[in-house]
Amino acid sequence: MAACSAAGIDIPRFCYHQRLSIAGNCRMCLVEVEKSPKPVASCAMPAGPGMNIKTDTPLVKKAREGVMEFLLINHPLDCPICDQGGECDLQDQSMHFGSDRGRFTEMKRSVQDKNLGPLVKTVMTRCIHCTRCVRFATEVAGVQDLGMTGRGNASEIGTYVEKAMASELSGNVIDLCPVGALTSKPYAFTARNWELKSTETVDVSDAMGQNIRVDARGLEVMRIVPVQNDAVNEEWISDKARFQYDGLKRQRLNVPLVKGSNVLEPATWEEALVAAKGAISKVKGNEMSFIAGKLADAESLIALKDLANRLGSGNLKVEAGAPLLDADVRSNYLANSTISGIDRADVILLIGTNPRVEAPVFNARIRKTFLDGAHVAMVGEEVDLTFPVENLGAGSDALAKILKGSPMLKRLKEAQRPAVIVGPGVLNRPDSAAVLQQVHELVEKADVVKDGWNGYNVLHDAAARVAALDIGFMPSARAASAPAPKLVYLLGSDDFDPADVPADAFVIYQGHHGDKGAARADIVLPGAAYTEKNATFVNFEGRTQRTKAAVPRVGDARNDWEIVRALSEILEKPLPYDTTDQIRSRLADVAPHFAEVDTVQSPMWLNGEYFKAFKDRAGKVSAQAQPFSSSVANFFQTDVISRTSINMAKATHARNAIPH
Amino acid sequence: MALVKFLKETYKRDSVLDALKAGGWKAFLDGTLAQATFVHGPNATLVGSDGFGNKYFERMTEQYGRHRWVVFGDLNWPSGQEPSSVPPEWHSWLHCIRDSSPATMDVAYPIYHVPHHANKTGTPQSYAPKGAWQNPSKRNWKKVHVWDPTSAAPSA
Repeated sequence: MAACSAAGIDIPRFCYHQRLSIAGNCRMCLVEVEKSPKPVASCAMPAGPGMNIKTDTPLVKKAREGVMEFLLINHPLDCPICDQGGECDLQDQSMHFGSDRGRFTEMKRSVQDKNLGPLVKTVMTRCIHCTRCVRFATEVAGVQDLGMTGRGNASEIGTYVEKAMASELSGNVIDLCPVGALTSKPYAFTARNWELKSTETVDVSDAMGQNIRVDARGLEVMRIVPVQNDAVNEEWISDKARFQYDGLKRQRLNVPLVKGSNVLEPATWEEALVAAKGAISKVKGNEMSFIAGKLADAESLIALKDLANRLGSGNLKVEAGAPLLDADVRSNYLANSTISGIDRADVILLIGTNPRVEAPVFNARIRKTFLDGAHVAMVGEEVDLTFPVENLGAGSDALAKILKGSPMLKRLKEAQRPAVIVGPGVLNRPDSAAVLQQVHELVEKADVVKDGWNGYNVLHDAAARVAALDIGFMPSARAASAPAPKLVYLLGSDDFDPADVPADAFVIYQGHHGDKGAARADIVLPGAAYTEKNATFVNFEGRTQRTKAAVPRVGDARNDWEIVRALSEILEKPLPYDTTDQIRSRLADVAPHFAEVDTVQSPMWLNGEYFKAFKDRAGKVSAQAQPFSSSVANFFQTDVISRTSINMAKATHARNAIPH
Repeated sequence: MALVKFLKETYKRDSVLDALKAGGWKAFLDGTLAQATFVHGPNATLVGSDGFGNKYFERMTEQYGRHRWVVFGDLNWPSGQEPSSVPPEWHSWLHCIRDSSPATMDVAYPIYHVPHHANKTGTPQSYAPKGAWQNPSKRNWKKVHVWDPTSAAPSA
């Protein structure tokens, strides 16, 4: 089959999928091979030299028509009420190979629907037993939940006992299913695929920057599906990226709000910005603090940083995480192996990370590498990563043990392409400098960085983090001695540390959802969510990617960097850019890779030299004994969008109901 | 006298005058009621009544098909005398679907049984589709739900 598609010939198929193992059970891909007495299934037949394959002979056509007739015998005639209608492989192929009349007079088989949880809807009577979902669950997602029971006419796909799929990637079976047996539960009966407007964009639910397609009808996001990008997410996306879209319709901020007598009241933009000016002009310098949220885009970050610096404040930070990471050396905070490079690693050491919840699609890639024979070990809390992992201990003492010389150190040294992945579980700790010092010693000792291979990786948990570090959105040297802030500007920050926002501080919140930040705020400026703006994000391997606006903004909301630009005008410190192109060239001035969209610029490896200087600072803190734990407690609810999403709440509920 | 007895039974009053005062006078306005009361009312057997105050009579000497009838509890005109207020078990007796009356036999209700009520058309309780303006719980057709600052808990 691969040979045929290389020759430009499309072979009909149901069970074959290039990222899954070959099952050969749908028989749709029958072709005629010379000297073969029978038609052969092309998906399972290796192409050989001198082989003559015929794909359009009457024999092939007849064979496929026969297969199609058998498939349609037990397939219900419910296309008009089927969510797959219009994008169904069986529908399309029956147009080519289906008979114009049936000669089947008996009763059709019916199968009881299975309950796979709140995200995947099943109509099992429609199933044609291609087993793509079973193979996906066992091979990619790594959960043994789905399987085939029964034989012959009585065979059924299902969970052996009734339970929800315990996978963060379960939504992908919806795309894999060639018919309407597995469809999206939240999307059920809401739209037809031909009335949707598709926009290819980037997801921000984790730091991986999964490529997605946002399908919208009018003002509404109707569904989100993956876009193939072999360098990032292949063709999978996590359930959070796929199903959190209903959060975009709830608790939105649509007009500027200014606190009147104890309560936020709607205002015009002019009133809100003038009120912000009144508050900002009362404080000066580092008394102002600027906190960016997890979903902030690069444009608004650079605009806010430029504005803060013009106001004399260097008190900038990104919420919840990596407070001590500094931006001097780019290779220090990126996944230097790149996401696709992890495929080639042969020994992987995970330190303080649980990729299954921090970036599930990346975890599937590590799993793939594991299946290819890589050895995976981890230091941190014992977690189920869907594949066996050697646990070397929980905290920094385990790291020290490895450093002293252990089988793991030897293994890393001997490996061709060893990879060390440091997760937010390390970066968030107050003693992260000391732990990172240990990690770097390990990297040096084990030769993780060599010619043509950089195995030092940092995994982040928030979409804004890498861009913020690239831009330098972080406390300046003098900010360390800054007084308690009297004015806090929250750029979509809802998970801020309460210590950063004192009770008497004046709070300006700019963002798209009403949550903790807006509830605390004195002025609320409505911004745009990631499906509503053309913005730049950088994923944890340093890949610059741009989102595209799929739906219009809500009410009076504005683009985030334009709000900051307008505020600077009111404050009489105008920022020197008026258009998106101008602010992007400003971004490229700060960090050249912002101009190179969809590519990774491998940073120079300076950590060796850099960490000699780093040692002094690391010496001041000592590593503490608590185990490294992931920063993500609940995969389904990490940011303001997923917290407002009903789908994610249901998924959390269903996951908690699964006995462990 | 049969008529007096009947009126007394039907309206639970001691004299004809009281019975007429209590609603029997409506028979002069309403032919159906007059027929039930004066023509085949006397000597009829009161078989039973239901929770709505409807009384069910039988007189086997009547012409077949007119031998069972109901006198509605609510005799107001025009809103009263609601035929749909007859519960299904009495309906089946009235129409000779079954011989024995619900008063003398146990009715086995299915598990999905809900208490009977009369047709609500024309009343405030009448059914309105999800989009109708009469519907008190109107469906919100807005695509986006906007945050209400007053709903948020006051911050610390």
